[in-house]
Amino acid sequence: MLMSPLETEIKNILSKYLSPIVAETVLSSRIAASGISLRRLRIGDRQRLLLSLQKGLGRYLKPQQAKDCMNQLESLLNSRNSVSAPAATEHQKISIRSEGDIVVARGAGRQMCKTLGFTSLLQVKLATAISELARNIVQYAGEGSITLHASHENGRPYLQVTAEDHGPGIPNLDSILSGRYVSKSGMGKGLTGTRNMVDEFDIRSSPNSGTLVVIRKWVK
Amino acid sequence: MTIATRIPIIRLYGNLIVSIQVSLSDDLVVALKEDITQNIGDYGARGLIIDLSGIDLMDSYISRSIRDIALISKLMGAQTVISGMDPLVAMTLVEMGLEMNDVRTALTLEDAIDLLGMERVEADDAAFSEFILAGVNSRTAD
Ligand SMILES: Nc1ncnc2c1ncn2[C@@H]1O[C@H](COP(=O)(O)OP(=O)(O)OP(=O)(O)O)[C@@H](O)[C@H]1O
Ligand SMILES: [Mg+2]
Repeated sequence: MLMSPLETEIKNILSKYLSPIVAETVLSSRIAASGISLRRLRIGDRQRLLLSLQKGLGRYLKPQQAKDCMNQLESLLNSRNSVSAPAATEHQKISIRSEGDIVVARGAGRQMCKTLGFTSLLQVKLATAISELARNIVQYAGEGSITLHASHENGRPYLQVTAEDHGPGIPNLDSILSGRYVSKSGMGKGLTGTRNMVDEFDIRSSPNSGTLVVIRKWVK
Repeated sequence: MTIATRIPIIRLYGNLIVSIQVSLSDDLVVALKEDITQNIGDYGARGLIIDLSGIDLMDSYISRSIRDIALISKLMGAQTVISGMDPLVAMTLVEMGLEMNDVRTALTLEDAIDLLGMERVEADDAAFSEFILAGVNSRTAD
């Protein structure tokens, strides 16, 4: 079942302290135990949920960590009183094998940006970034995927794009990221240009496992 | 999505005009390079205008392709002017570090025409240059 926006946000906070699987387990078991619906919170539900989560966290975290985590959860739930709930989480995975797929991926990305409320300039920038990552997959790895993930944290929406392939990896990553690299097959601006346009940029590459690029841009 | 296999090239008063309205694929770029060089050779064009007003996104691949075309044309004696680039696309290119410093640009197609100093070639002149060109071509063919 699709997670409610609030549930996703709570999970995001929990994931800072717990592994994703544990975070998800704690959350679903605590929601079940407290017997509330996150989609329709009634009076007192916030408090019930916090108490229930606190019990759950006590088993996995040191007291100080648990306290930090609870503070974040509390401010999230309190902010829910005033702000209207942002759009639900959206998730889309696109296989990238050919040039046509590049066009599909950047089109889908642009559409998600629009829905999230990015300015038209940021829509173009993000669609361009997606195009660069997708093209690198086609050009250098042959095939892979682009995953678009629209969500929000503390009421702030963001778009996260994951480009993944199991190709040959990038041996000279450091020189590429430092901007010293001169490309034989292009302008060598795809990755550094993409990094310039986003808020968060993470790249992992190895000859055994291929290349993984994760970028994130927040709606201001 | 429009599926085009070739981008039309318009000959106008000694110049070539290309308007790109579709997302450029590898095949289209290759075909366009061929067609433009062929046209410059056959027609002796002195100028080439690439109008980008139909393009709402340019990544490094597309911008490099356009730059390549401009460089090839220059080697063949035709000057390239790019026109109609969307402001958002232009800002994105700059942020990517893909500005096209070595290619002349104009805001609109009209400005590009002015920039090339395009003038109506009289019928006689056109016929004359065709005559000259025909001579050149037959000589090189020998
Ligand atoms: N997914 C990938 N798998 C393997 N190698 C890659 C991958 N992505 C990039 N590379 C390598 O990193 C280099 C830099 O990539 P980048 O996208 O920055 O520039 P480029 O593709 O060479 O040129 P441009 O993107 O400007 O047309 C590439 O030349 C390629 O060698
Ligand atoms: Mg690239």
